[in-house]
Amino acid sequence: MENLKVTPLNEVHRTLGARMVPFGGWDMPVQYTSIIQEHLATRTAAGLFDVSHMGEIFLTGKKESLLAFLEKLTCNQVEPMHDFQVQYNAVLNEAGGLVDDITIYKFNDEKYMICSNASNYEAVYAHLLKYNTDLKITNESLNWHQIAIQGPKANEIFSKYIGQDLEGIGYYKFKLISFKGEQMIVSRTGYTGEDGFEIYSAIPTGVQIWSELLEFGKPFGLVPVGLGARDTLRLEAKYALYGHELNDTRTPVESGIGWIVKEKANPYFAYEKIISQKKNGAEYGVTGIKLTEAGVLRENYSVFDDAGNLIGQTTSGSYSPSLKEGIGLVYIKKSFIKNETIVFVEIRGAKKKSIIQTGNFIKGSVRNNK
Amino acid sequence: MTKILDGYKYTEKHEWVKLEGDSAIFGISDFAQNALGDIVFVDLPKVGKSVKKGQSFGTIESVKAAEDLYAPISGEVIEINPEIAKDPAMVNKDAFAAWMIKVKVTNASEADSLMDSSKYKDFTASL
Repeated sequence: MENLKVTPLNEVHRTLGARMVPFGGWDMPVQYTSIIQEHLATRTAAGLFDVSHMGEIFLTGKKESLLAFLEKLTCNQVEPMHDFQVQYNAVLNEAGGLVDDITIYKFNDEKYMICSNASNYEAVYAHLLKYNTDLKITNESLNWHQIAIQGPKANEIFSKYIGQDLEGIGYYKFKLISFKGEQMIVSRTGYTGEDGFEIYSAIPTGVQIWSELLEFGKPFGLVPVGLGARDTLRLEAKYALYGHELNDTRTPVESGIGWIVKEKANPYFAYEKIISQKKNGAEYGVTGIKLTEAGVLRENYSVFDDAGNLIGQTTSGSYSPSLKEGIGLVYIKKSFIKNETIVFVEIRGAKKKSIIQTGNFIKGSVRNNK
Repeated sequence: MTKILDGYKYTEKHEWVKLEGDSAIFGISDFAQNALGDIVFVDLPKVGKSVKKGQSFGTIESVKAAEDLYAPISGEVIEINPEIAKDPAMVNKDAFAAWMIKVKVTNASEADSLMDSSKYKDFTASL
């Protein structure tokens, strides 16, 4: 048995009756009661997620060198960011593949935080150090507690719990909030397609908030949610996941996140190739796919056109608890990325008729819909 | 608490078989449905197909995973439970009521080597 890392809530999850599984080197709850119940509770009320396994890397330094550094290593444009803004971005390797997809938090011109995936934050940290010259870069992942509250009632529940009106925090913005004698980072972000917050705090405070919030939110329908429903929620929202849609060989354009590729005066790795892909299109891209008959899509199923030519591969797949059908994301030849194109997915030797869905699978309460 | 009923025989892959004269019905155990979680799809063979002891006769899918279903004994499929396709979650609700296929048994003695309820209870406790 490998040595799994545990979050500070590990014992609490076990007490709640969670089924624990290894995930990216961590011992995490996959479900407390049922993936479908937890999923639907998040869509209709709210869910509470332990995301302490995520990484937090802080960068401080002079304005110009910080900006130049971040612009060089990532493909989205950091320069236009305001203080207390969060941005979805990607750290690129030398070939233009992804070291990780990240969110960047700008505190001020001289301080940023990178939130990175659990399985990647050490690689991101090493990559940043490799190119660092004069910045202070610290990996504080194990010092930070992180939970997420997500769902149409998340704002109401969390605002009432901490006794502050959080309505003013816009989508992809954050606020430093004093609570229990400490300063927490509260950001209006998430990974479910619903409104809500990701809350970064010191460990003892985070553990306390988890239990208090769960109790406080119960009458509103708040339930703890494991990684199983976290995956089905993000899939319905069409959010990419590292190791599935995203990896170290595909560029952002080839991974379905070309919208974060920007032109810059200060170019990042593989700049010419990536910008050309953005302008002219890459050979392959990522889009949504839906089974037209009963069944479930899974990762790594082959996808064919009606003439039987192999045209792609599913990168994620599951049963959609909201739609009650098989959905997925597919890495597929660009010419097939057109809404309602009919394709065929091979499942255990049989080709199942499926349909390309370029638009949303669901419309959640997430603020960018408003 | 995991339900294990008498009068059924069990495999190490957690299927059950119930012999009824010269036919038999197959399903999965309560232990298995609990381990799988929310069951959303069951892929079953067509009537007339032969199934062989120890070999896959279908697939069961939960939200998280797809697993093969292994035949506890050999036979020819004479009926499939039509309710399963309409409501796969019935396997979660009552794994013993949710029989999947009925077969005409080729060799009833194949069931002798399977576990009875008390052996299966010990087997699941050891996992």
